[in-house]
This record gives sequence, C-alpha cells and structure tokens, in this order.
Amino acid sequence: MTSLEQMTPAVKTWLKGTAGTPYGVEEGVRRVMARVPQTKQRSRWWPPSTIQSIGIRSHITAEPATSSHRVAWPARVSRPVMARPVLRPATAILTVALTVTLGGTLLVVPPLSPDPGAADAALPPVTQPAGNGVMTYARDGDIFVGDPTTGDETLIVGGPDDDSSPRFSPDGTRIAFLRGDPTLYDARLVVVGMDGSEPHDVTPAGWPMEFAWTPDGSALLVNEELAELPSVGGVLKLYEVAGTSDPRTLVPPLPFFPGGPYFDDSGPVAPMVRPPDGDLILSGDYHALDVFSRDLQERTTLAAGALEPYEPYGISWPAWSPDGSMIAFEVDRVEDRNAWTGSLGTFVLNADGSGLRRIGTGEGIGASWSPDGSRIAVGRVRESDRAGATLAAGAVVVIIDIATGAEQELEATRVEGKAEMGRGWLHEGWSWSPDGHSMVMLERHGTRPLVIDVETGEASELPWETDSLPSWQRVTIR
Amino acid sequence: MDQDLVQRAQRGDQRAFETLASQHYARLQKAAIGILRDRHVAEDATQQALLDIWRDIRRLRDPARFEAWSYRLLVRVCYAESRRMPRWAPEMAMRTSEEPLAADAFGVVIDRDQLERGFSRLSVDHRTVIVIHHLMDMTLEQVAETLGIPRGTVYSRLSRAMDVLRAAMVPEVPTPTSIPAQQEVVP
Repeated sequence: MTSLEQMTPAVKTWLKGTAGTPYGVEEGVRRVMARVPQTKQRSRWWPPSTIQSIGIRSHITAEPATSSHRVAWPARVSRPVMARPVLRPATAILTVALTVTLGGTLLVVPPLSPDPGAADAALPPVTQPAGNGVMTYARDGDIFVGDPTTGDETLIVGGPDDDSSPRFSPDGTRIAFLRGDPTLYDARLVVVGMDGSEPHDVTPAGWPMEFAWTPDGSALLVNEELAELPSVGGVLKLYEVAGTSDPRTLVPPLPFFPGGPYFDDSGPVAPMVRPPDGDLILSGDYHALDVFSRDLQERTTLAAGALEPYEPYGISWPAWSPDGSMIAFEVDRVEDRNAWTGSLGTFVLNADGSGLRRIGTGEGIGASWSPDGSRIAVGRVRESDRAGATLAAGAVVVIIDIATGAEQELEATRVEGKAEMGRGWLHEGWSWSPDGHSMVMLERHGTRPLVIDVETGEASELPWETDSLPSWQRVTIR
Repeated sequence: MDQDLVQRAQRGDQRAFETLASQHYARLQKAAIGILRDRHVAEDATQQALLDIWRDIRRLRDPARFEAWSYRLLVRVCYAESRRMPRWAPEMAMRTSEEPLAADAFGVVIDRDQLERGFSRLSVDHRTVIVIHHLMDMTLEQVAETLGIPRGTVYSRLSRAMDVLRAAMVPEVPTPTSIPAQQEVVP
C-alpha cells in the first residue's frame, strides 16, 4: 500500500499541478464589482441602523439585546391593546393589535399572520394540500415572518446572532432555524413560536448541514457533520423538539464509495423520510435505492433489476410523494462511476419497488412533489458544452404531470447563460405553496423571491429581499 | 496586505474594495479550485465569496485577520456550491497531465485519476484542510487559526482525508467496518 510519506508530496504536487495559474482575474473582479452596488453591506454590530431598515412594522426597540442577546417581539411590546395570555402565540399575532414604542413614536401594528388553527376546520394532514399562510425567511442574520398577500413583514428573531434557514413546522405553529456558524462547528438548531417566542435549542453546537421537520412535527431530522467523527459523510440524527430524549442516530455514515449515501455532506433530508409518520427512510448509495425502516433493522433495495437496462446509471435526488406511496428520483448515466455523462431523466416507482417508469424528457434536479402528489417540479439545467460537467448554460424549473408525463416549463424561473455570476436558482431553490397552486423561488440570496402561479405561469416578486428560500406556512383551507 | 484597504472597504469605499478584490482574487480562486475541483464552479465561488466579503466586511473586527477571514467565507461558499454539484461530476479539465506522480521519488506510481477520485470522496471540510495545508502551504497551526477550528480537529481531518486518498490508491473499497462501533445505529 502507498504510505503516508509517499502520499504527502504526491498530493502536494497533484494539487499544485491541477490548481494551475490564476486566470480571468480581471474579468472576475469586474463581475464582482458590477454587483457590489446592489449588495448592501451588513452592519458591524446589531445596530439601530438595522432597526431602521426594517421599517415601521418593526416590533422592536433600538436598544441592543437583552442579556440573552435576543429579541423576540412580544418581549418588546410595551403595552398590548388586548390581553394575550389566553391565546396561543400564533393566535395572538392574528388577533391582537399591538402598540409599540419605536424611537419615541407610538405605532399601531396591525395583525400580520393567519393562524393555522384559527378556523374551525382542521389543518389538513401533511399528505394533503393545505391553505397558504405567511412565510418565514432570513435576512442579514435575522428571522422574519412576512405576509405575501399584504407585503407586511415582522422581525421575529433579531439580535447579534447569525440566524438563517428558518422553516415552518408542518402544523405551521413553530419555526426552526439555524443559529451560528456551522463551518466552525458552532451552529445549532433553534425552535421558536412563529412570533419568536419561547426559543430553545434543539441540537448542541455542531454542524447541522441540513434539517427538516418530521411530518408529525415532533422532531427535527438533521444531517449532521461531526467534527470528531472520522467519516467523510454526514450522519442522520433525530432530535426531539421537546428535548425529552437523547438524539437518535438513524443512519450512520455509510461507506463513502461507491457513491456514498445520498445525504452525504449536505444532502436534503426532508424528501428522505416517508410521510406521514416517517416509518421509512430512503438511503443507499448512488447505485441503489434502499429503504430502511426507521430503526434500521430492515433494509430493502428497490428496483435494482428494473434499473439494469440503464447501466451504467446513478441515482440522485430521491423524494417520497406526499402520501408516501411513490418515490421520484433522477437517473443519470455515470460512466466509470466517476463521470457524469448525461441525464436519463426523472423516474418514479411505487413504494414497494414496483411500477418503475420514466417520466419527463430530460434532466430533473431536486424533485419536489406537489402537495397533492399529482406533479413534481424539477430543475432542468441545460448543459454547457464541456464534456463531463453539468454547469448551467441555462436552467428552468419544469413541472411534470405524474399521470401523463406532460411537462410545463415555468418560464419565469428561467436563468439564461452564465453571463450572470453563479448558477442562478440552483443557489437557493424552489418549493411549492401549501395549496399547490404556486411555487416560490429564490434565485440568489439577498434578492427578492418570486411567487409563480403554476397554472398561468405568471410571476410576482415578493417585496422583501431574503437570504433564504421562504418557508411557507401551512394553514387551514378557507 | 494593506489594512488600510480593508478599513476603507469597511467604510463602504468601493474603490478600495476593488483593489482588495484584485489582490486576493487569485489566492481565493486557487483555493476554490483545489476544494471544488471544477474551474467554472470555483470561479463562481470565488466571485460569490468576494461579494460575501463585501457584504460582511464591516463585521471583521481585526483588519489584520482579513486573509484568514476571507478563506473562511470562501470555504462557506464552496460548501454551498458543493451541495449543488452531482457528486460524481469531476472536472475533466483538471487532469492536466497523464504522467504519474511521485514515481521517481518513491518508486510508486500514484495515478492522478485515482487521486482525483479519492479527493472526490472527501467532504468539503476534509478537502479544505488538505487544500489550505498542502496547496496554500500553511502550517497546521495556521490552518486551525484560519478555519477557526481546534488543532486537533485539523489533525484528525487531515489524517482521515489522507487515509481516504490512500485508500483510493488500492483497488479494494473500504467497508462499513471502518465505522467506529459507537457510530452505528443507536435505537
């Protein structure tokens, strides 16, 4: 075997040989500078200036934070007009007109968000579409809730902490978000009420790479990189939100090659757990579609024989349908298990491995099921002319009808070429609205998300710049 | 590195930032290529990192730490970029030579493709340690300081990463038994 002593100089030489000499510096700097005027500088501290930029609907005062350096707006309300204690926090937002003092000016803050449980009708289960509520998103390290129908927004978690990636719980009453710098293994997942109240840490400090609420909202599924773990992939853990039990490691790091687990460094975990109760978890390497029982005691490989005609193939982006009856995934042609050489398209199969079929006509990245399970939205990247690579020369979100295979390109999502820096929407992604009639897409952090009507293709820009793809609250259907 | 440039950029001086970007572009690009193994994606990452630097530069308390801090932002962007890359998408253009490495010095033929393949198995944080240490020629102490992680973590990551690269030199694929027992299923 090659020794470490032999490896070190070889790796050095190889790295220096392949990194090459700098190129395109002038053009690169020019591109950066073209975007600088549109890129706001963040403030040095948590400052009054941040408060000012939030606008008149801010519920916070300009003083620095409390001892915990957190600002949750109910704590800053000077005098509520109506009594709140009998209401849930979410209800309070809806029903209470708040009087706050901001910079000496008395402002009346109208109700912002719908309450998922306000109506008599029950919130539909996660296997079905729901009504569209408010959105939560991050900007400049703070967490906001915004109403896409009115454009109002409320800062719910401010302070000096770097907070990001907020996501609504399936029942729409709580928000989980990332706090801290994961690259320093100093980030944790925090859950708050949708008004920012009752914050508590769900995970210890570390590097939560991806997370999702379990369908029942009782836990967070976390793809975690552990500093002390001598692995080259993530580990999937389940943290009870109530913090009543130790986290459970659902899927340990799998062998790193061939392919590695789907949830390697930062793979999304939400589509991996079968709704509605999370009884099955998708796993396996890129060449096998494995389903594990939640306790990992049982493992089933799906469709191995049915996929043989597509050799050499590679599987990616598997996702359960909302009712857990089907799985969608992307199949690529993979030469030598190391070279992407083209897409074979998007496939679906039943949960028991039967019914494998190809839908759609081209590449489909990041399959996302519509809430009613009738369609999936995928990203389609037009390949550049470089062999063996998948850089976007253009990209668009495509909706594929499961039953008919009919495709609909959402023109509003199209990103053309690489004249613009980066790879457009691939940076932040897209998701369905709870009612399945719209999609929300963030092309790049720090920009305004788009809401696209899936039926008409018409797009409208939300009034807020965000650093994360907004997470849409599920509410009762009215 | 001109701290005055950093301080001027912190005050919103775009011209100072442009000079700063010009001075550091090549360094960041080199590291990004090393980590991401794809020149085009690395180019994007470099530019995005510079934009992030502009956005956050006011939060840098000590201008003398600009270089280390900028690496940290770059690594974060590389991490995000890597999430969007198919894990088997290599940068073919990276293979600049078919000549074996280190054959003369050690009598061992180390294949570039094998190294590339082994490197592709590494997570970004493992790659980063290798790149910062071996490509950017920092000591392990400097790597720890730059990335803001304990030295022990740097050592363990480097050790693990080199193990993976070494494993790529042999035909047999490591098995799950290499996973520590305590990391197995905890019901």
